[in-house]
Amino acid sequence: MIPLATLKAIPYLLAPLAVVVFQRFAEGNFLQALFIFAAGIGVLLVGILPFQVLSWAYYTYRFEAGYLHIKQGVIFKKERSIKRERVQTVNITRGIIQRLFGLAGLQVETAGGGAESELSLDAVTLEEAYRIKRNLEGSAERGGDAAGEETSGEKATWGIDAVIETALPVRQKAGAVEEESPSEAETVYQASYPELFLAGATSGGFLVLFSILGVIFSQVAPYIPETFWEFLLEQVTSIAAVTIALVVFVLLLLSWIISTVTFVVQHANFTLRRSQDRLQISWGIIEQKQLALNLNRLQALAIHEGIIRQPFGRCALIAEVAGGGSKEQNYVTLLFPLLRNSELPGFLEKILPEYRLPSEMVPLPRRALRRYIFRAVALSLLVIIPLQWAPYGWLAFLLLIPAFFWGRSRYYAGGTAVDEQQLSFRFRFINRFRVLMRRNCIQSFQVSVNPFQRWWNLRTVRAWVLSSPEGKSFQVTDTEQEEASRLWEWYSRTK
Amino acid sequence: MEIEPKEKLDPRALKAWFFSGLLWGLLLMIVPVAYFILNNLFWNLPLFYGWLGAGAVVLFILWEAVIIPKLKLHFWRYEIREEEIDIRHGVFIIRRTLIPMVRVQHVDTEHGPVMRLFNLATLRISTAATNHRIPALSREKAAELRGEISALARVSDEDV
Repeated sequence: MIPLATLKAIPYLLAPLAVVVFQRFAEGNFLQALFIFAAGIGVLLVGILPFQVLSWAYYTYRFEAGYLHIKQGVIFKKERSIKRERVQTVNITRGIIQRLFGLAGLQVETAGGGAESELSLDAVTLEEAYRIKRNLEGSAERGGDAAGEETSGEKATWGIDAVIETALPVRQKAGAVEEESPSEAETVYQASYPELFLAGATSGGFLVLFSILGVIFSQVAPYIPETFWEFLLEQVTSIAAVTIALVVFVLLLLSWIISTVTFVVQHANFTLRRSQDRLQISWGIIEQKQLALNLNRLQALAIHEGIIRQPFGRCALIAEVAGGGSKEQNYVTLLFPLLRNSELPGFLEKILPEYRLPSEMVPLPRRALRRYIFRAVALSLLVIIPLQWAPYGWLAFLLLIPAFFWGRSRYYAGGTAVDEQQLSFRFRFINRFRVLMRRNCIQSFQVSVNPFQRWWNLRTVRAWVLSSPEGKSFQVTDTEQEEASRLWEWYSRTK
Repeated sequence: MEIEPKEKLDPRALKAWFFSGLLWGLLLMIVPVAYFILNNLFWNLPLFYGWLGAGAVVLFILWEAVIIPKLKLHFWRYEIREEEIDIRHGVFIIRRTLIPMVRVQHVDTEHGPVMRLFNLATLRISTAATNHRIPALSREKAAELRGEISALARVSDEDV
């Protein structure tokens, strides 16, 4: 392990060393280059090796009554105990170097725990690796029936993605799905083209595109022939300001059309189907993409109402997924691009009966309104005050009006609800979200209070769910104190 | 929520935090001291800025090593129940956190050189999504709690 760890550390140190040596070499200072090189290697051996020896000596593990204890650290000590039942997988890996020395690497992982392995050994003898594996996995196979089942059950859930994301029959004709076996109930939803078009038109993607087009235009503008501008000024309008507005309008329209078409093409044939405890999402025309999702990996459901979509009464459905979402969808998985708000309860009932849309939510108390408005106004002042040094800076005070309405609408968006198994938050930053979390999927829960909130009897509630690659939290600010207590009692298992 | 957690941190935390605050302060003190030395040797700038820096560092030590540890110790509470861990901490913003035992992935104890000097350790509790710490417990207590929590944190029949 020591030589291996040292070998692993060398490349990091060699790179800067090589740069310096090459620089000297290029300057013609051969002797100096050689000296620095030798000194570098010396430091490497004297500095790294003893530290590696020590960290090797201090890294110990032992088994004791169903536990794996790990101790590590030279200066900063760390001890960890892992219960055997918690262990999900024990991987034995053998690289070239490890094989050369008859060694093996070993990683022990527990359910869901982030990117880092609970125990990771670089070099143990192969027999030792198998001994650890036997010790950790043995109990699950031989142990009591209940424990064994639990472990294997969770393994199926959490196991390697390859198991879950098995290849599906590609290019299944969506929409015209005949039930292959009537016993297997399957619910299918497909986004229609008009709806997709509306989704694209209101996605807000055009704002990004507009800023890109704007930059491109500002680069191209000098090359547009003078005659064109003259034509615009003479034939269309004689006011320069109107010309500018016209150009902006054309750019906006262009970016809006492009982004809408792109969205429709990207999400064409968007189909969501539910069969037993699996969700299958497929989309795309040219390249059909599919994603299969075991329901156990679904950690929370978010209903996203984009600010442009809200007036149309439409929302999108987003899933927080544990254990790695598809790469294309970047961990947050789009379950359905556009739904009518009125359709939502029926949609959920059919495709995800595990989640229920709360019919009523507890709104924020009236006295929270001033705090929301205060925060919005304070934030806008951060922009307004520096602008006072600019010409026409006083115009910036007009920003106070949208800030006021922003704070107000954030206040009205805030809300919480619980039923037997589900916690629901409603909140807005710009877009409005409704997040539905099942009690079993909430990793921890927090109620916090600052001095001002204490004065007004208000609280902030926050819940964490597992969402790859790390946890994610959702919060509602300035809820009624009693409501926060109620949520706390609901989550608490101590009655 | 009405039942506040009962357990407090080890009072030796005060000494340990004072010590580490002092160490950080002394480390920071290098900056004004270096200013004085360099000023003496090479530059001829007003000494005022040096004193200002030194004063700021002293204030920092006072805050970080004396005031904050007292407040922190005063507000810190935790309780380990059969089904959950209840933590209350914070000086200005007070946070109550609830971690169900069935969500606990693993428990660590850790201690650096300063903590070791005062026979203290930090307990770190990890769920699949979050990390929580109970700082400054006696080392025996921390080890005991680590054993207790990892025994209670059994795999549940609840699905994750």
